[in-house]
Amino acid sequence: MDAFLVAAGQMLDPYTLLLIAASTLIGVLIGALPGLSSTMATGLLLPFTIYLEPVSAIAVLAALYCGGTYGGSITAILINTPGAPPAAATAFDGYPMALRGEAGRALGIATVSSAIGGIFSLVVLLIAAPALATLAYRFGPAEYFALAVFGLSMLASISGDSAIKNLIGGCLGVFLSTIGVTLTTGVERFTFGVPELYDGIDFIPVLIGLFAVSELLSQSAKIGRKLERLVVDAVKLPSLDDFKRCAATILRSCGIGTFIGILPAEGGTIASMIGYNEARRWSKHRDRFGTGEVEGIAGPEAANNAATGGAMVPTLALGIPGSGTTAVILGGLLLHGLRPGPYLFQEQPTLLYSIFIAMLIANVLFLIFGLAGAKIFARVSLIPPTFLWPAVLALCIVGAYGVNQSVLDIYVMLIAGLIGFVLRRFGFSPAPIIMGLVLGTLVENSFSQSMIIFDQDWSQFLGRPIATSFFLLAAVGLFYAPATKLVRRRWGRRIPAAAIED
Amino acid sequence: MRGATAMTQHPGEAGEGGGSPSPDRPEGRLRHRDLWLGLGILGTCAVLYYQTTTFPSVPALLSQNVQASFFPRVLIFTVGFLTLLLIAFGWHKRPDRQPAVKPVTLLTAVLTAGGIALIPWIGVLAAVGVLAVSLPLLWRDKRHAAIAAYAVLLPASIYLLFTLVMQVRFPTGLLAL
Repeated sequence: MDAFLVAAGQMLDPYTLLLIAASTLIGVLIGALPGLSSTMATGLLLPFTIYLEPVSAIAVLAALYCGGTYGGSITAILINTPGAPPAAATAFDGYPMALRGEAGRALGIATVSSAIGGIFSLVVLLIAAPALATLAYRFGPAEYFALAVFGLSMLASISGDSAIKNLIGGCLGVFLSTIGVTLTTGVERFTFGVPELYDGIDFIPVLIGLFAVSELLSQSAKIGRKLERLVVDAVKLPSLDDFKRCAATILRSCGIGTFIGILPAEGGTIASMIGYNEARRWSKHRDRFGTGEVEGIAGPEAANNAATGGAMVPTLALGIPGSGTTAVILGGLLLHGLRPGPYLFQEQPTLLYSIFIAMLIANVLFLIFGLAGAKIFARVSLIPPTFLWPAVLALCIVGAYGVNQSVLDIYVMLIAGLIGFVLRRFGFSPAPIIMGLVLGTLVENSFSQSMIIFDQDWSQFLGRPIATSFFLLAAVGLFYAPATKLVRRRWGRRIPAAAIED
Repeated sequence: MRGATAMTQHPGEAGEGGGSPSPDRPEGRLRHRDLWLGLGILGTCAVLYYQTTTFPSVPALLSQNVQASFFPRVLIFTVGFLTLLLIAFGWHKRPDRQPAVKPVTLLTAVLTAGGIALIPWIGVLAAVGVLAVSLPLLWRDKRHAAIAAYAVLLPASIYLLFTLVMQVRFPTGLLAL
């Protein structure tokens, strides 16, 4: 209780409160801009958090995450262009509702559902993170290695073109973390004689390059296009009737989103898609989905925001990111000298409560901002892209330079951006590479330590029940989707198509 | 569900391109999806593996039986195996139809790289100013007065916020002379 009161005192300090409010606002604005996601928002602003106290810095990143996740729904509803991938499902029914002249009602439902989903997941975070951390006290290097493998295996099912490409991307990220001088042997690896690479590649320039610079290049071909924007009527709270219709959907999506968020590497995009599909599956009006149904907005919005708190659970308790954005937040924790895992709660007893309170404030604030100012936020889509993207590039340059005050980091960012653009064209997603890079050191260290403990005998991994469980889960994660596809292909010839659809 | 899956794809990402060959391409000329990409990755793996052979060997006592090349090699073999799977699953499948990279994208990349390459000579703020002029002009924005004002205001805002408030010292290049 004392820790909670101390955390509340820290978070309710006017300066911190102002930082959280500003971060939520920036998150909503960035999330509302097509092409800019919460991952990019946290990535771009992460370097500037080094000037803040660790707890305030993490609160800022957490608020950006909440605001950015919600912000994507605004443009999804108004211009049928999701500000971020997690809001893609919101557009299915949000835009048709806006076309009917009910943009305000659609935004109101999205805002309230998002806030409920976000707050629900925070309660779970508060309960589940310490419980998971208690379990993690039993973890040794072998268990951590198995856990990291499980986390990387989950990359197979995150959004993108191909599961195999996601896994290759994850390995590429881990590989990048091997660049530099090894701590145990002092041997240079892949430095190619460049002294600046002896310390390894910094995570931030790579992150900024992969997400922001590659996106700039992808967007450059579309910058001249004009988007049709709908007029927003007054944004209003959902009516009692809307609430009655959506209550079960919101509750279901809260559970789905939080659960999906807790799974390593799974994020808001998958949560919102499953939230949408489940809303449709359980609805009495499933035939009306896609034409502007309130449940079609409430389902994905509650789910993608519920994933925010869920994704923080493995990030804080185990040091395994629950989503792309939490991979950045994990990088933020490391940047500020905070090592996530069970000992984090022992060494920093107030941190969990601080993050809980910061995210709670962010959820309440975007509820207020969303209901009061969605009309204003909608105007961010009027910023000419020809002016917006040079500003994003300027932030990239300043952000990449800012951490180590090194021009080499700007070059690393540029190279990462160019490589990221090429990889995107070949169907690779940047998120797995970042997750691999963040997890790389943990994977190698825990693997090497395990091999030393096991005296180079690989089979001893299987003698550890927790590690074996994670390896089995990893195998399920890797082979479940292809196996299901195979079974469906075989049985699909005998079962009518409609039965498979349901 | 099908609609939902389609919407998850990011801009620029192509969908699964498997299935029947396109009508304009005869069956006999069916290509293999991801073949060239896979071969490129395997080639890179070979180069990186060669690199690991150049790592100096450390006495077993110091390295605790785990040489510096061991973990990178595990990763290289994993990527190699995954790449073989990628090629195998894409066998006899139509390659993804990617629209060609537009000249404007290439020029954006060249301008961005050029602006960043100028940093050692003209400094960060002036390079940002150059990019703030050149990129909108490349993207055919014709509001010349607004672009000129933007090219001054953007570096000025960065100077105000980052140099004066956050005390970040940017390189000034030859302009410092």
